[in-house]
Amino acid sequence: MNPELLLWIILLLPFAGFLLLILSGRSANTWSGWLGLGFSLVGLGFSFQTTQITTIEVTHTWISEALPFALRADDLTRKMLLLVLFIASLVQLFSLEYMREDKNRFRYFAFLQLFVGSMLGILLANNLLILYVFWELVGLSSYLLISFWYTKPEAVLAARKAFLVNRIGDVGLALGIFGVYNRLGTLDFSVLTSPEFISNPYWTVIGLLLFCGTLAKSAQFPLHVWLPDAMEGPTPVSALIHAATMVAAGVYLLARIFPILTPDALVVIALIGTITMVMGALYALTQTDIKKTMAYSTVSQLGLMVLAVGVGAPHAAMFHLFTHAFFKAGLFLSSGSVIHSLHHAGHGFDAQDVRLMGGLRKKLPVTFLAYTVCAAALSGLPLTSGFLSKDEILHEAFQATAHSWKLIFPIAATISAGLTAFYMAKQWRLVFFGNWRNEHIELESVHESSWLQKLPLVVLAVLSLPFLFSLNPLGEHVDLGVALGSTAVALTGIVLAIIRYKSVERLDQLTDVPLLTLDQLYQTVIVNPFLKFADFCTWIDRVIVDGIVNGSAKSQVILAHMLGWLDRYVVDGIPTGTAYVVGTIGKMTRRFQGGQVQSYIVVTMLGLAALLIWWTW
Amino acid sequence: MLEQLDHIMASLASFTPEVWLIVAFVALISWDLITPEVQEEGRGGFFHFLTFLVFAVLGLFVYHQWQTQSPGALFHQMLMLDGKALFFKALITLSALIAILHSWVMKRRWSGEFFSILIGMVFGLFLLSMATNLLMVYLSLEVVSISSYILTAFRGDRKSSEGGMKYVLFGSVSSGLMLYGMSLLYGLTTTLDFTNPAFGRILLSVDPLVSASALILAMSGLLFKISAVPFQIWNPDVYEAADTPVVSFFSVAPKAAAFLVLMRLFSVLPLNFQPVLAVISLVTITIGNFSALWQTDAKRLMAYSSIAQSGFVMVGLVAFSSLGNQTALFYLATYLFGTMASFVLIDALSSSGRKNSVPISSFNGIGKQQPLAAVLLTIAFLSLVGLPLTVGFSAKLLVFSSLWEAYQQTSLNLFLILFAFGLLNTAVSLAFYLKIPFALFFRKANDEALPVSLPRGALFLSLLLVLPIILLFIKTDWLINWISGI
Repeated sequence: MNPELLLWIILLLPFAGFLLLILSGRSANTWSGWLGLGFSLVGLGFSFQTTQITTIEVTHTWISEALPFALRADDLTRKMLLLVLFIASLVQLFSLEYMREDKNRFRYFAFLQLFVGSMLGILLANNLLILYVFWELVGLSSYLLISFWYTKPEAVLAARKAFLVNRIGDVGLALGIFGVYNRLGTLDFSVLTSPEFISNPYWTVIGLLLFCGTLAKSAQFPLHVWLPDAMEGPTPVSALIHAATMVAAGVYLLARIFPILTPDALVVIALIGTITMVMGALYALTQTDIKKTMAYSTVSQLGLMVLAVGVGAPHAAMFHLFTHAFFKAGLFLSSGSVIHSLHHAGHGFDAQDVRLMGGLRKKLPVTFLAYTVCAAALSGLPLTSGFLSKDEILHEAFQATAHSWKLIFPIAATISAGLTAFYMAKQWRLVFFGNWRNEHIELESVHESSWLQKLPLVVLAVLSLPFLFSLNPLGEHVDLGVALGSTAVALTGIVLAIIRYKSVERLDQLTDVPLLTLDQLYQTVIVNPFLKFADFCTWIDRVIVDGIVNGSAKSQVILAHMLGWLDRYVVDGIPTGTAYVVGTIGKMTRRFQGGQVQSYIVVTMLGLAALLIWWTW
Repeated sequence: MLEQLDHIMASLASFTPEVWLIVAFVALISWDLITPEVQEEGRGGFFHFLTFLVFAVLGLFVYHQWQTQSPGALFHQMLMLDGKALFFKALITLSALIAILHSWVMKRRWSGEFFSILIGMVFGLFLLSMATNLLMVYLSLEVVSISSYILTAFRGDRKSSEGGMKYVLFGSVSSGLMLYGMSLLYGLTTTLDFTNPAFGRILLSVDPLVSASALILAMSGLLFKISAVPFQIWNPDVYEAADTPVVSFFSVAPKAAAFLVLMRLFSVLPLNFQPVLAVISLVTITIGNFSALWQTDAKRLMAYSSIAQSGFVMVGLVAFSSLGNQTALFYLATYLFGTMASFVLIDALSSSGRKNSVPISSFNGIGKQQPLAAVLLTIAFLSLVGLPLTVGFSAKLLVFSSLWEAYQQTSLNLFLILFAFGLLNTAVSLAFYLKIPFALFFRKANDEALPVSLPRGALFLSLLLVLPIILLFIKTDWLINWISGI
């Protein structure tokens, strides 16, 4: 097939699906999931076709010659296409069962298609402008999906928060794009590779502005606050958007613009990544909500990826992005499976609270297995994909930062790997082992759902094993020190967690001290002063502005009366006078029309005579 | 002798439409004499149908001539059959068709002579549109005039007779003046054929006082027909006296033919004649528009409007260029639709029946009863004003741009004045043209007024007439290409 056509089909297919579903309305409910799944699978097939061909470029003149509508599929893009479409397919497969009872399924699957299309747009974009367009569309579809259950106030609030926080980042991204265009006159990615950008303060600023997009989209400190709240959306959505793909778009953006990032900018990026990573891991420790733990874990892992870019290893970051996508999606879908099962067993309790679980491994064996494999991958244990990518990052980081203060970055990463192992082991222990702690329902009534749900779990668990990425399960080039060290740290975390929670069998033993989140900080530092300022503005508006307006209104009325007088007697005088003159002329010309034919003839003769006299004068 | 006969025989071949009219005239009048009138008030649908058929066949003849005829003189330079003549014949045929349809759909009844006389008038007009000989001009003009007198007074009531009588008297004076001027011209140039090169050459060489006097006098009859100043006075009385379909026909066909003769005449006149025409045009527009302002009667209003419109056509002639003539042709052709549509709708919408006067107040509030017809009438009026989205705008734009071109060539200040005054008058005309739409839509209906029953045919006919008003605005080039091909 024509390669250009191929790209267009891949890009437009999900949008077609979106329109089809959203326009069909409720009548689409029965087949919407299958249609969405079908579209994604077809897209996946086409994406496989692109791997047969070398780099594809499509360029159409759009806004101007310098700002074309350009698509491009290079090696990185193609891998990402496969990743997004593959996980989207699995998530939709999972959703078939998960959303079976929702009355607005058509909307759900339509929005998923919109998201997939937008995400593919980001990947295929060959310049920053196109990327920005789809970037915004991704934000929109994320908003729509978080607030999918819009009758839940928490969901609406979470969606609004996500949207607003993303706005802040996107403004920075837009400014960065303007800055690039201002200096280069083009936004093409291929131009962003020349080495002249090094060590120019202008490019440091531009790089950091572009990084703002990453800050918001990939939930980096201090704009990470929206991601935990976004878990109000349906769990498969969290798996697809808020764990595997969309949040990784920020890392993808960093990888794309990596050539123009100056060393100074990179240091800032690494620092932000480190803070995010450690903070996310710490928050994850104290969560009791199964999805919130995952959310903070995602924040932490994204921080690790950003850190990897910051120390100059974007390929390691992208590698971790891939492995993380599979095992994190697997973890989310496993959590979804747990939640779904509990939800079906009974109502009246929080189906996401790990304190109300325990001993589920016998009831949900497939879920348990998948969860175990994926959690091991997340903890970075050997013989998992997570081990490969995490060690790659650590290895690169230690090499790049040796003999400087920047050594704290890899050290922090190692520590947070230990923390990760700890909280994953904790959750694993609390959900699947020990006694059943829920008094609302019997453990016996819990059972796993159909293979529609279990199949994606199994697939994702298999893909969390190292074989997809490396023939050698311990990596192509093992750095023995790093491998041993990180494994030791992870195992320590796991052991500590098991010891800590071994004797925990009652509910009240599980209340952790909640950490202060940035939300409170934002509330006191930004929101409250802002509200005060708004009050102040209201006061100004009411007292001063209204006063001026009312005063001027009064003076206007007085002036209007004066003008009215002027208008009536002077201005109106002119048209009235004109009308009078015109009318008089009319009466004069009509007066000839006396009605007597002899006078007609006289007038005519006089007229003729006048004409002759005038002419011959 | 034989050569002459041959020539006449050859000319007769190009004379088929006129021969057909003569045959139809005789046949129709005979039929009327032979068959008894069934109804008291006169002949109705069947005679309308016959007359319609006559004109339709006439149209085919004209079309056939259009396809086959090469320009040429007939009957020893008495007549000239060229593209312009055919264009005007087509216009006349079209207006006759519309007039007879108008009378038909409004269920008018006439005694049988009416139809024959109408055919006779068309015959006169056909001759007039071909005339290049002063004598021929005079004769055909008289045929037209006499037919018009009869048609005006045809209903025979007091108002009708009075109007007809005024028309006769005024018309005889102007034709007398014309004859006087023609005889002077003949005396000066020793030829009646004004296409003869000698005609123009000699006029240039004589004293301007003499040539101008003779020419202006000779033009009188034509100015009378187009109702230009100072021969415009008869217009309102006749429009009021005659029945509406007849007025509708008068407002277009005789005017068009007379304009053609004027055009032919001007093409041989010395250039310094331009100012006279400019002044006539200026005064005609002004008097027509300003007098119309005070009218309370729709037909009198249309009479003044038609005076003013003649002035606008003359603006095209003033330019003295082929472009100017073409724009005048365009103006006339489009004016046909605007004015005839207005007459059909005025006739159909007025609740005052078929009396001579149609007060504007009789339209009060009818727009709500007959929205489509009222909108159509408004469009027709807007076209007469010359507002965009109607072909009236294109027509005015064209004549004034040809005037502007003439001004740039001659830099005659009079042209500039005419230009400015013409545009000013267009604005003034808005005031009176909108009187009737205003009454239709915004005035409250009179209490005693009966609901208007609009014949479906009238609505259809007016729709057919209004359609080209819009269409030709969008596709102005259709008509322009046709005209410039003449």
